[in-house]
Amino acid sequence: MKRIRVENVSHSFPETEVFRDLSFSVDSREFVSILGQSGCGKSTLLHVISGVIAPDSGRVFLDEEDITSRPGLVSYMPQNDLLLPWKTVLRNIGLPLSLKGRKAREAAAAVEPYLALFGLEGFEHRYPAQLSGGMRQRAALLRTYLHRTDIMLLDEPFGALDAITRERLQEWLTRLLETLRTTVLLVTHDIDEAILLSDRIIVLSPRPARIAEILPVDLPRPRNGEQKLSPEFLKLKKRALHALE
Amino acid sequence: MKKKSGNISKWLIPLAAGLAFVLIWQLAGGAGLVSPYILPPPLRVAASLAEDVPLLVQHAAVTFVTSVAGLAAAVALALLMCLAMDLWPAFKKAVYPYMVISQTIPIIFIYPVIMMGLGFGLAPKIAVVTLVCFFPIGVNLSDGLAQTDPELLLLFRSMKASRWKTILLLKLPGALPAFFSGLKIAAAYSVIGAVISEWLGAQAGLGVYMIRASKSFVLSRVFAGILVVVALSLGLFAVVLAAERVFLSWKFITNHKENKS
Repeated sequence: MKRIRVENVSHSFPETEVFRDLSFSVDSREFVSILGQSGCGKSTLLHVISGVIAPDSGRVFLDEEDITSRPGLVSYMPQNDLLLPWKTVLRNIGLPLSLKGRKAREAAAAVEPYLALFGLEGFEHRYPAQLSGGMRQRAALLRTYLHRTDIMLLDEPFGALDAITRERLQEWLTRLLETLRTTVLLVTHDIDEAILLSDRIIVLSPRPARIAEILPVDLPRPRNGEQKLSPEFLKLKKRALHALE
Repeated sequence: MKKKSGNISKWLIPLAAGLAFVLIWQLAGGAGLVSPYILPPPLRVAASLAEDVPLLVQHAAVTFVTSVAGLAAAVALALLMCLAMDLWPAFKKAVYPYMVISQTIPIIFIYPVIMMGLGFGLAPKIAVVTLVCFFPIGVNLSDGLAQTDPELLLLFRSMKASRWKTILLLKLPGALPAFFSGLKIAAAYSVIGAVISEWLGAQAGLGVYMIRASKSFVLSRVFAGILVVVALSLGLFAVVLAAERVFLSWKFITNHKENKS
């Protein structure tokens, strides 16, 4: 179906090299996390893959199609929820459809079937300021999903949430993806989150980032927070911690 | 209950202070402390106001039309200019400094020039109001557009939003609070702008009424005119406040959050 391939991508900002010669791929319906310390260029990497910034060198492919510097072909969810405060939840979620030229009513009709699945039923006519952080994040995720349902790039989607809400949303996301079957590339600095959610973890070294290690996560699914205490989980965590250094 | 009493004191305290001020003014006049030719006592102002109601309504209508037309023209002009400045940064660089300079021009001296261009009718008066109102609206709207969250712009770019859709769905609604800040200032100034232009040469309007009263030394009528100017300005301001409540309703919702993740 949909597969992302990143080939020899390098990028620098003036005076700082962000990452050098990164190559990896995310298979169709696979969940891959990119794990790295803060400031190692994870967000920039997602900007490159989503096409909003051009890399200094290297290419990004969607299946066999070269999508380097071509925005709009994959879904991208930024770190903050970035919901528009003047639009209701329903209108916010329908934004990618409005941008594609659909009428407000059509966009709303397309959003409605997903509201229950994303735990937003009954809140669709509220404004973002009236929702909890977790709900806003779920609304932003649904908006991302509706832009392109087959491939999503998520930039620390739960980073701004408190620990309890974060864990609940992580478990919810694993269950959700059993239903949606989307290819996901997630960026995080949270080792537990990466292990809990992923099929594979790509560990990045500090700046300039290179791939330090690729960790397959073969914990049984469906996963839940309790697995964090299992010996297999802790073994993976130890390896990830080691690779981060 | 507590909120209600808060609302009452919100109105009651300034109202009581105003009444006290008027009362002292009246008493000072009655006691002969202030000459009625310099500062006419409030009761005499009220009498003049009552006497001249038909005349004042006539003049106020002219001033009102001038103010609203000028304000509307300023909004339209500011919108066009700011959109153009947002679309073409070079245009902004070329125009922005002159937008500021436009506000520093002493209207009194260029009014004859405006009148030579636009004649003796309402047009030059409306032009003066537009000149006065354009600046606060234009500067606020332009800043509002420029302050669009860069992360949101990036998000829109990632969704391949067209330039036009980005303006319509992101930049303009985001700049609306700033626009209304400017519009509130402009609404309060617009009536004064109209009165000044009438002062400088007109056949009708509150400016004309007041200058006639002042030249015949009937100060109580000048004050009656001032009262009408104040009332008109406050009225326009209130209309803008009401419009703000409608267009920015999302800002006025109670920020009551649900305790559900």
